[in-house]
Amino acid sequence: MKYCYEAFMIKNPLSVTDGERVVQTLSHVESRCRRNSLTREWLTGFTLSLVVPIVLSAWYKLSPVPWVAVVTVLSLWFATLVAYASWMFLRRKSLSSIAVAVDEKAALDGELTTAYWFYRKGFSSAWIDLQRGRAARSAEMLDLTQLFPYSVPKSSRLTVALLALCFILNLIPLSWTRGWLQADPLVSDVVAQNLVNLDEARQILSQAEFIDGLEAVQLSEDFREQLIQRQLSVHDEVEFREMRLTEENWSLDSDLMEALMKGMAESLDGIGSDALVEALQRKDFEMAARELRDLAQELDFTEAELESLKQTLNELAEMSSDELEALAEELTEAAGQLSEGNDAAMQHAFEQLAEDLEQMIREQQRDELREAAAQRLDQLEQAAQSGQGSNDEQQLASGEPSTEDQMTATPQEGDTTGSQTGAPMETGGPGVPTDEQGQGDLSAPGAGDIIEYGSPTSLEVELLPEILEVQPQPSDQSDDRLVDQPSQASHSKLQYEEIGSMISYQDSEMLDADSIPWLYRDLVKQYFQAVGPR
Amino acid sequence: MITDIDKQIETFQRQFALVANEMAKRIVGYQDIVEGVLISLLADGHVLLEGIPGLGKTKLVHTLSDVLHLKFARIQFTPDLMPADITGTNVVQETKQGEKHFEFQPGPLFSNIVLADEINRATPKTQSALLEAMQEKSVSIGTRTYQLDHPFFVLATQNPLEMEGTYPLPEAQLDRFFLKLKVAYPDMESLHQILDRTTQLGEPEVERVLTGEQLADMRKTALAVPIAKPIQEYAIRLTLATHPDSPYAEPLVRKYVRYGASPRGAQALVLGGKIRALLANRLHVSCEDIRQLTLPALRHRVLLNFEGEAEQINTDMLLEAVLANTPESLT
Repeated sequence: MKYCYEAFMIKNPLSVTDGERVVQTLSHVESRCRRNSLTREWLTGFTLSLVVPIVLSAWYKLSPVPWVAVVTVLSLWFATLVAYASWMFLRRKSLSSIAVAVDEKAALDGELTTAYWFYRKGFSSAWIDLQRGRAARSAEMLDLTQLFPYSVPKSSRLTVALLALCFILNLIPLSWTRGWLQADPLVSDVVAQNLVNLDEARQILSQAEFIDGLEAVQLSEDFREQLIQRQLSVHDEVEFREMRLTEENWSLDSDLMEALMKGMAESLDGIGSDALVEALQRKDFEMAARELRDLAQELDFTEAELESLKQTLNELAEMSSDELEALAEELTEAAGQLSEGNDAAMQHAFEQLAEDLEQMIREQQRDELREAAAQRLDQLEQAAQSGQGSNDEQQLASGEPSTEDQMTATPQEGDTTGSQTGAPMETGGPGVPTDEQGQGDLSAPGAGDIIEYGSPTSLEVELLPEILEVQPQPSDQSDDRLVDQPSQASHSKLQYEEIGSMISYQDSEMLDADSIPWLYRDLVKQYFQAVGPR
Repeated sequence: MITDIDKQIETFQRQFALVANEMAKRIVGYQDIVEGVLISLLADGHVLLEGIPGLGKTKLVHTLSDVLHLKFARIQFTPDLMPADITGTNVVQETKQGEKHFEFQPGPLFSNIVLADEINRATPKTQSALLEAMQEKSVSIGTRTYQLDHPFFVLATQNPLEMEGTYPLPEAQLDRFFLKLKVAYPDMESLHQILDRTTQLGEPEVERVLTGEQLADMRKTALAVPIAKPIQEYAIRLTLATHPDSPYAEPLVRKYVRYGASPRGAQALVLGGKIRALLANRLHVSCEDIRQLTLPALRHRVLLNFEGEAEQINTDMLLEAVLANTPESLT
């Protein structure tokens, strides 16, 4: 800030020194440069930063984010912008760098730089003063408005465009925009409202007579817990509602039959048909149908029993889903006949109810048979496609029983061969479940029997590393070792020097072609041909 | 108001222009070479002119000696030239009384302007005989040291080192040359003027326009030019950037340079910058002055390493890279 002080001290233009005139000019240039620089750099930074709210707006258009996130991001963006602007405002260039810039722009060859440096350092001599005077005159002759004009950068157009886009995206309600000010109620609010409704539903459920009170409370608690869990992850109200419907369907579909049968059993408990109650509790529809027919034959109910039975049948009809629509209709009709007191019609209604139960049993058994047949057909096709013959050959060669043997043999408890060989088709036969069958074989014939599942088979095997001790053998020296051997050796083991001495003078003379007698040359030639490489 | 300094500057510029104009009567073109030679002369330095034969290097030096009122000597360097041939030696003299004694016979070095023609044709032993003379302005013979005349100015010419029969100059001697100027082949227009002047009767006459005293005054004027520290620092950073182990060094410098320029290189940059500033009617040295002098002042002071020599790296290329990557100001 020294130059500011220096510029402030220049009051009387007539008494200023050459150095002060130079500083005055440089200060003027610095203010112009700073204004241009602030405008240009701040606009650039602001333009770049506008990408943040625009991206956030686009994101919010596609997938709404919590308002806390929006506020956080916008606050950070604004704080960064303010910090950047403050840093820009506080940043100042030194007058030395300004002098360099002026020298470059005005082609002064460092005259102002040198003069300002001499002035700042306080150097003085005849030559330096003369140089400073020349620099001051040069500085006064500069046309600063032409050298450093005020200008608005062209990027300001982009800034205005981005600003308009951001404004439109967020503040103007259009069909393709989704402003922050028009945000829909957040999912958390929806869930809170639904929790209130859920409490009311829980109370209604607890008041239902055909369902055990504790069970209803458990159901509502499960429902509530599922809602709370979904509240943490579900962001869209529509998605939340769809999930809620799915959960309701899931609860009703799985529990409806059991609740229905249990409710009927409890309601009929006071009527006196113990066999019917027991059959309904065991979900033995066949027995229940027979008991209903017997009940229809008797029809000696008191008024209170009739009223109770009527109410129960109506509630059961309301509880029935679309899939049990026929049963619901029969229940409604039976209740109506009870209210009318027509014995024949009441008997007919009970008959229809019993027939419906039998029809349900037949349909259930037919579906199970069809599914079991389909599974068996699939298994046969897979066995045919996987090359049964080759499998048999392998098993014969290894001494293992063939697939047919396995199919005819009675599977032993804990035997895992069937699942490993891939042919357990018959192992899950009627009433003979194995440990590996699990729930999958419930569809097989006879699956309605009570199945007692054993503990899963575990194979306690500990794998131990086997350490092989390899003894180095001469034959184990591979070619690689032989190849690597010379490079690893420090010195050659071949005594090249002795090769020459192994050949005596006579031998070398004999090998000389000129010294071989003419008559023996053929003999020598034949000898070398015989011992030479073929 | 015209001050004494203004007068000094005006005198400086006028005398410089006089010498340059006189030389231009004989030397066609090569204004930058003439300016470099005169800058070296004013900075009390020596000049090494390098170029292929026939480009007028010797003619330029002859012309300079004709323009100045100074004693001139020429030494033709040959492989069999001995140090005593240029420095002088003690010879036995006999007096009238018949007494014999040693008497020093000065060699051609005892002049103001010495033309060392084809200096790289002499052996390094003879070349080294110039070391003391160029730096100390003295010659030591036996136990005595003889001061050379002032001003002492060596103008050496050399053929490119690729030519046959040449010996590279020792690094110590190379460093003693203020500038190394490369004489390029003249262009078409210059060749026309050369032929016009040299293929007719008579040779353009030149006048002696500058004395030794005037030359000394011009030197004083040049030395008085102030230089700001940032500009001087720029010259220093340029010099340091030629050193491979300097933080300012370029990757090319680190790869190909063994030794960078000595402090004499920075001295040459600043002194030459001052003279250039005066010639440009400035009272301050600018970075542009330093830049213009970087190649002639530093090119012979940068020693390449083996890799640089093997790849025939040109030191001018390295210095241009240094110039391009050295900022004028660190502010």
